[in-house]
Amino acid sequence: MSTGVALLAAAALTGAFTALAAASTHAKKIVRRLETRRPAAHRLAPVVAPAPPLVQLGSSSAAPRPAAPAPAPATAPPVVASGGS
Amino acid sequence: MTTTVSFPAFGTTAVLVVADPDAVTTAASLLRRRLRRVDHACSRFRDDSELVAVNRRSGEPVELSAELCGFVRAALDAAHVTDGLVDPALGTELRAAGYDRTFALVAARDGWRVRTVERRRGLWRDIELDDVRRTLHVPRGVELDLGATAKARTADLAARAIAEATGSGTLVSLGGDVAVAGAAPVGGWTVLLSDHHDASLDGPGERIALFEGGLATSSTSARSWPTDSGRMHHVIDPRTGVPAAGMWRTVTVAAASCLDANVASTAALVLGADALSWLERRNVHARLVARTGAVMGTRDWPVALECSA
Repeated sequence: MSTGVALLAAAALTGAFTALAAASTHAKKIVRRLETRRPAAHRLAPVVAPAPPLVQLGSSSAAPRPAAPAPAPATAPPVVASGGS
Repeated sequence: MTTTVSFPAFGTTAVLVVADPDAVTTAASLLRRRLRRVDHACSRFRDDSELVAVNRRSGEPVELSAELCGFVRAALDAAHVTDGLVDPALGTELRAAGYDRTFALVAARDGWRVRTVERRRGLWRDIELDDVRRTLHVPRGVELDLGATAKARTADLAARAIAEATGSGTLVSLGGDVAVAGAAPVGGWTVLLSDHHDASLDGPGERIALFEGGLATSSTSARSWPTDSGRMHHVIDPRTGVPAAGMWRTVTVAAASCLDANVASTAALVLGADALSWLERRNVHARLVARTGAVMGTRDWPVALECSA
């Protein structure tokens, strides 16, 4: 009698462990699926604003050429020097 | 009659000239405030600067202040329009050449052993700046240096802001990078052209009158220091990773802004023999001084008054 109970208990436990293992595998798959989905959002191209260029150098041939500097009047002393620094 | 104020800034000299003497106090205060802000954002030598913090975190995305974001954008635009001749990703190369601290300390040091760094060209193309989110990603190991653009952009912004706030014609020079805004004095702003921005205003040299935009001079004879490999200077050729060794000693450019002028003058020093045609194609006015002392100009460069001492 006790052997039969033991066998039944063993079978029940085996079934329970199998079910748990199956559930665990299933859960792992779901987690894995979620994990593999998450980085997809990061792979989207970054949103980079089309900022207008701050450096206009030769940006368009239609852009007016800035006025050239002029020879300084002989009577005007310089207010500043432009040189390397 | 103009009024001038000058004081040390960015390891060089800031000069403010206003056409209206009554505007000088407000103008000087605005300039000092802006310089403090920019220095805190862009200095490569201040431990507490935002740029130093960004350089420490290369390889990961970082959030920028609006101030630094604007300067990084300008530096990347400069690299784009010059196809990398003016490159903000050369901090490591500058450091290897010996420019690893403020220039006053570099100049005072007893020699320097130049290090060789692995050359990886065009890394500026891998720098990602999101202007809306203000996030920046710099490739691991790349050190940003905004030296070629930050002073000039600051001069532009300061001159414009001062002219708007005071109504006075304004000239701002930061180490010889000159921006003007508002109404120029009769005859224009007279500027002496020299190898060095701190040249005596009574000394010899070509003088031109500037009415609008900006003027910048880049020179290999200023900001240079002795090393075991000869004298080094601060204009790095991104194609070689070492200081530019082209035919020009000094290049002055007048353009729509000081930023454009400085980008063009730096690119010309790097380009060497091809610089004159490159400048003509970009609609800027330039004066180039060869290492031999010979002077050339783009087609509209004025036959200027040259005074001898």
